Amino acid sequence: MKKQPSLLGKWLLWLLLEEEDYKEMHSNFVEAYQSRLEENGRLRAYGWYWFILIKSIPPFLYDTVYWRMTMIRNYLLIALRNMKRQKTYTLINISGLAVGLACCILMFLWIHNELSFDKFHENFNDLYRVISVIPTSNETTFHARTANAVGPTLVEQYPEVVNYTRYQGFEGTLIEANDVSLKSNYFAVADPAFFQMFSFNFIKGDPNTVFENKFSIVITESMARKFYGNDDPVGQILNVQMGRNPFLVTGVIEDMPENSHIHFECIMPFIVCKDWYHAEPLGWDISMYYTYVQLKSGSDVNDLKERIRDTIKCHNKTSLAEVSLQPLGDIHLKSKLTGDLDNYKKGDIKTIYIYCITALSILVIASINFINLSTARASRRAKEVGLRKVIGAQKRQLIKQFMGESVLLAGFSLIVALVLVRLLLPTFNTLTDKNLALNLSIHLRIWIGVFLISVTTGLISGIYPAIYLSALKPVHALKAEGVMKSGSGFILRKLLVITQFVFSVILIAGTIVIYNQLNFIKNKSLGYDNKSMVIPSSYFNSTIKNELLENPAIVSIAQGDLPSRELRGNSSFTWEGKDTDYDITLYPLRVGESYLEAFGMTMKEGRFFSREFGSDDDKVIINETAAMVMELTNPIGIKVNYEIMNMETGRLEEKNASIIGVMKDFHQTSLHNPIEPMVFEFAEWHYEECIKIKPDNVQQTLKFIEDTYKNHVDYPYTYTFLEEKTEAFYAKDKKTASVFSYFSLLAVFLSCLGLFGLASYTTEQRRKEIGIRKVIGSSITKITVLLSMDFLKSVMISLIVAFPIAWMVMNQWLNGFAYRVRIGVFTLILAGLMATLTAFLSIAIQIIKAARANPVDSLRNE
Amino acid sequence: MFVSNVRTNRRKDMIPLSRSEEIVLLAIWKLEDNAYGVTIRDLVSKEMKHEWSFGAIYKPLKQLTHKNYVEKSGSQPTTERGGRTKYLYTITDAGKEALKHMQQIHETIWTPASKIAFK
Repeated sequence: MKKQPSLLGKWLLWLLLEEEDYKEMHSNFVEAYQSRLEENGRLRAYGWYWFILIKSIPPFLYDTVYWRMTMIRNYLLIALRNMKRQKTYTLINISGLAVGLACCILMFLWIHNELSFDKFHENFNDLYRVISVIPTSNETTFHARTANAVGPTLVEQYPEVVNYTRYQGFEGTLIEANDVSLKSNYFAVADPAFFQMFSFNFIKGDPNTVFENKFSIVITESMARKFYGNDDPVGQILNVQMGRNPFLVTGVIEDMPENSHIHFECIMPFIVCKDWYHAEPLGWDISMYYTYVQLKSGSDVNDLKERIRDTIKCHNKTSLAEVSLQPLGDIHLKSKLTGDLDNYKKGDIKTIYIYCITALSILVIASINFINLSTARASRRAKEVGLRKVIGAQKRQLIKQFMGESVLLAGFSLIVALVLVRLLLPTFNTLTDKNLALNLSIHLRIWIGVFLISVTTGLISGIYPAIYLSALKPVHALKAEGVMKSGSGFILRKLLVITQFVFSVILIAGTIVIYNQLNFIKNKSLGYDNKSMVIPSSYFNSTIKNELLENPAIVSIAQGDLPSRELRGNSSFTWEGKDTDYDITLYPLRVGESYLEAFGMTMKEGRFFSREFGSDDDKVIINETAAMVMELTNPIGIKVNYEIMNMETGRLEEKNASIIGVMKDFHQTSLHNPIEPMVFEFAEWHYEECIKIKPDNVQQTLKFIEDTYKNHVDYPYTYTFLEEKTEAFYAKDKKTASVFSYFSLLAVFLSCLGLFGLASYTTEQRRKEIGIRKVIGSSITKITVLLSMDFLKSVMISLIVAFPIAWMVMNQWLNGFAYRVRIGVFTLILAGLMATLTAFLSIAIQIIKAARANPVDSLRNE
Repeated sequence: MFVSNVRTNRRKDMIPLSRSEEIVLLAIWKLEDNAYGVTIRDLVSKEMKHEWSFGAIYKPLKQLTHKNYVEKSGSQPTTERGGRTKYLYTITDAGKEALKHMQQIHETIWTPASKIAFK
């Protein structure tokens, strides 16, 4: 005879009822079933059983829920009462946790934004940029561009490559339409397949046909509005100043999303570059253009990368460049390539790591505060715990109660944190140059993440206090005054304080080092004079030049590839006595006559270009680094041979020249990079120039320059200072520095907050002890010292632990700079001192107050 | 969350038993030594001429126990029920008082109506 009517039924009862009731009811059901079984047979018994069971569910459920609700109501009431009674601690706890959570949320938003770059393209997983790898003996260059013919060739030869497009962005071109002149910031060129590969949404026009006509242009929404208001732009004519060709607007696309590395305001077919820049669409020389390819889903990328390596070398025997692929996802964060100029708001994965770690440290510090304060306050809850245990609470229930309290506190902190985030978001956006927002609709994942973070923090922070509290023995709890000083809780608390301070010291040290490095860079001599240099934006001619020079405020005018401009390496150099086994990458610059004088550079040997010596077309100058790399002890007179792109014809041509001088090194690019070996060619004429002006009456001089330009050309005139360009190299570092320092400040603040709370509690605990000591005859100073010793010991230990870690971490960051400061012992000591000082300040008030307390009061309540 | 029927200390003699409590208590009284889940339910169902579920007697039993009108005691595990404890309910003096009280109430509230002839 089957004993159990149903396992499912048993399980159901178990779910619904508490232990005792479950046992009783289950036996009732079984007995009733069995008697029915005997009477009426299996089927009817079974049916009856389920009938009665289902009918019983509502009352059982109601009862359980009722009691659960009642308990929860009780827990909630107690929790709220406790919070009200100990307002200070609750405040410290909530604010600390809220600050930590707010930081995490902000970081989370930032990181989410950075990681989301380019992910909106449908073909994201299959898109790659074709890059060039040029190995030479002194360095391997990774270049973001490749030859124009590579794209079509890859599609033709490899079935995995399904589509290609070339791309390039240009800056600062004038567009006229409907008499609305506009200096466009960015326009781009690309092949028609661009719109199939990348997902830019079309508002008007058909992506498949927009580039059918050579002189067509697709503009963004805001541009359409600027020119045409609400009218339909399709079919209108725009004039692009470059080639003075009229372009037909064939489509309108949505504005570029912020998180796209490709940014432009209007785009034209790649073919027009043939006319304008003599671009060879099927050329095999690496020129100005990027190539993107789309692979078939599921292709083996590594295999393909191997196979396409020699694509350029096959068709261009002299080229050293190998072809490789860079995934679209790597472009924003992991792109340390040269020639990567069209990468909008390029980020760095290292920054993400830094921010991640910082945010986590802050959260850890806040959580540690929470744990410390909760366990320290344990003595106040001891009576409650004892009583509950006496009544019959199980340990499990107590743990659930206290963890629930933690989560509740974390919940309150989350609310405060969200308010903080709302308040701080505008400032944060300015600081990081982004447009972050906290809306539910777009970032559901963020909300879930935020919620999970706070609940997890509550749970993890609550585990230790919960276990500690639930383990209190009722007898001790109800009898004794409080938790004894000696005990495992005390050691853990000390450990936590030490950990907090380790983090704080590391962050302080980090901030100091970052500022040191930035200062160093700002003050380091670049090797040339970059102050008071005006760079006008328009083309000029010799008439303008002469007119300008007539003004005494104009010191000199330099023409040529300006310092701070990114250079492209050239590995075709050969010279007398060169070792033919390996190749060198040199960086050519074209400079005019007054270049040296205007920038205040000096020659180490030989002479600079000058018309006095006849034509200097076949003469070159190298810099010190080049001389070293080329291993030339007597460079003057050495003949060199190389290939270089002719700007007018757009073709590579071979040149022969001899070295006439060695220039002293200067920093062409940011101090992140070492000085490159450079070669200078003489340029009779160059369209980029730099005007050196006297430092007084700058505004007047600027006006004069502007007027002179306006008299001769009708291009709109703007200017920049060379200093701005060189400082732009470090813009990102400065941003990182400020964000980092703010967060460090927060971390230190939180640690001090925690110490403050802990100190106030501990001193209160030792009230009687202090009272007795005073009665015996101890002085206030002695007591202060005694009380402080504990804390300061912990701080000392944390310094010892923190120093090596801080040193290692900062070293890593500094290695990103070719020119960097040393992390001196002084820095670490300074950081340690600051940490100790702030620690001491936070506990000082409490300690002094306690030390000065009247022993009569402390010992009275016996 | 704030459930209405919060059990507070109300004077027991003022509040009558609820219908199900009354029925269950009477059944327990009638069953004398043999009042436990199964027997209670069977008796009540027979008297009501309607199948009461275990859930239906669960709440009244708890309330009666809480009010100390019945005493719950565990008997020795018997092989009959497969070694599970049987909880027996016995009515207390207070319970008997409560029943008497209920009887008086019934008499009071039914008296006028009994004068009306039920057709």
